[in-house]
Amino acid sequence: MLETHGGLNLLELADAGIEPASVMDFSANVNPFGPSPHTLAALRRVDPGSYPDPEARALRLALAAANSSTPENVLVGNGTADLIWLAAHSLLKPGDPLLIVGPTFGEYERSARAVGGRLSHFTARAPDFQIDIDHLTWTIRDLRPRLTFLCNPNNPTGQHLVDADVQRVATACGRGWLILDEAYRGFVSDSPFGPPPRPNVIVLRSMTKDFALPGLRLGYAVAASKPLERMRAFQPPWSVNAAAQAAGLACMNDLKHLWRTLDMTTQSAGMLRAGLTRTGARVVTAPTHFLLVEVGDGGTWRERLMAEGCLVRDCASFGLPQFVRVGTRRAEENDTLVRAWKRLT
Amino acid sequence: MNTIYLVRHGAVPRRYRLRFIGRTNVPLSQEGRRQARRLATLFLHRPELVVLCSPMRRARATARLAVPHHNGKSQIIRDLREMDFGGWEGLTFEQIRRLDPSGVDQWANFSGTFRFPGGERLRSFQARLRRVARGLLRHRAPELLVVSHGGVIRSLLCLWKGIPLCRYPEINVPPGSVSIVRVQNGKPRIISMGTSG
Repeated sequence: MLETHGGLNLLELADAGIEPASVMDFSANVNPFGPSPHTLAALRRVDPGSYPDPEARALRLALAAANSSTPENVLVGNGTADLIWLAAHSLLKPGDPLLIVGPTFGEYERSARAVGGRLSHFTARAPDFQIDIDHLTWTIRDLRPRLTFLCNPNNPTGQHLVDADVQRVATACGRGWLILDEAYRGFVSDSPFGPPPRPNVIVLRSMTKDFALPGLRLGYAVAASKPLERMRAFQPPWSVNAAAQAAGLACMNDLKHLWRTLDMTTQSAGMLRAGLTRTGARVVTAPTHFLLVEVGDGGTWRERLMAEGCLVRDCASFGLPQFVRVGTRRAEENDTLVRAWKRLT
Repeated sequence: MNTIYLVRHGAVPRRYRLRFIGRTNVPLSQEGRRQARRLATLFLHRPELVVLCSPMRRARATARLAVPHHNGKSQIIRDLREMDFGGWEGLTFEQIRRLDPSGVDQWANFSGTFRFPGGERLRSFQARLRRVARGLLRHRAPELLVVSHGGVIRSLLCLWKGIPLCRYPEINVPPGSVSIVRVQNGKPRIISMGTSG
């Protein structure tokens, strides 16, 4: 069965006779130190019997201020996945050309196909998956896509384009939109916040990964009013539920926790990288907290590790069947993985 | 980086509209109270927000409605009060222009020695404005909510935009609106002016 997203698949575990609680999940790239401790208290105060603010005004203001943008330039959504679909549906017409810079997250392609866009791929190659910016900007100018999807830093390859290169890509897009997915920005840069680098850029920021709220489905877009108005028109009412809004606000009220845990995550990732490399594993060089590792047969390697109680992401669905992706967890858990890896090598 | 939310108090009763209302301690109108309540939807669940408020009735009422959970924990800062228009209080611009045309000229040019007749000296207003600006930029709280008046907020925004104070009427800050300022290394950056969220 082709795994299309990370995380525990309960049916698969049931078939294999593995207790979900016994498995350490290295297959999702979430901050392993969890959300702010104030989140739970905030969630307890939520009244499930009342509708949430349909405009998420309080959270939107907090996000706007943190991102040095006005509230009109922020759209809160039910996770980045929701915003990707809103962008595709509101900004693409059937037959419109679009470009996906890959290999990358599968939802860009899924949503583009659903709208009937004419898909092109710009694919970075093994072994280092670095993006040739000259080649990319030339491709964009030649193709003139209506939408370009760029995940930065990229999932699963971990490659990170610096601001100047992102500017070049945005400029090359001309009047086309650049959807810049910065779900993992917090893990590689000083700050996960900031306004869009150019008016044609729609920045997507997840609160799932760095803020560690995958269960609540929360993300936001920062962009010029024009594209946001179009996305808003496609957004169903009450897309962001009360629990997500309350947790999001609690997290924004406690950014110290975010900075501290992101630092700790970077350290853990460094040690994991070193540990795996010592076993002889071929780890792709990247600054992210998740590692892309060449193992020959990703599916088989994943099964063998699962039998050892460690779940990693088989990258076949990314078009990289020889690779697995490993997201860092805490030090002791990483050690368990490294020991298991060593046993299997 | 810190954030300062500059909130202008809500609307005052219609009979005061288009009149110079500074030190006159008028209440909020029904519309003003509605605007203040709308502000509450922007500042929900923010227990850590530090609230600084002008001592005037319309500002305090706005703060009480905008951040109800702070109830009384707002710090009253005298320097945040509106300009004192002295003898011009309660008059319309037309009336003042007929009464005191040269005064109006001096005021429009923000002439150094100008003083509202029986009211505040422009110099003192500017001095307290600079005190407010310094205090806000140095404040330790990561997020500040400042409830004040049109003259004060617009002048602060002029100061931080680096434009002459006499141009403050050009800045649109409607009643009940929020202006967002981010502060990094003691330097202010205006993100938005007069938004309703």
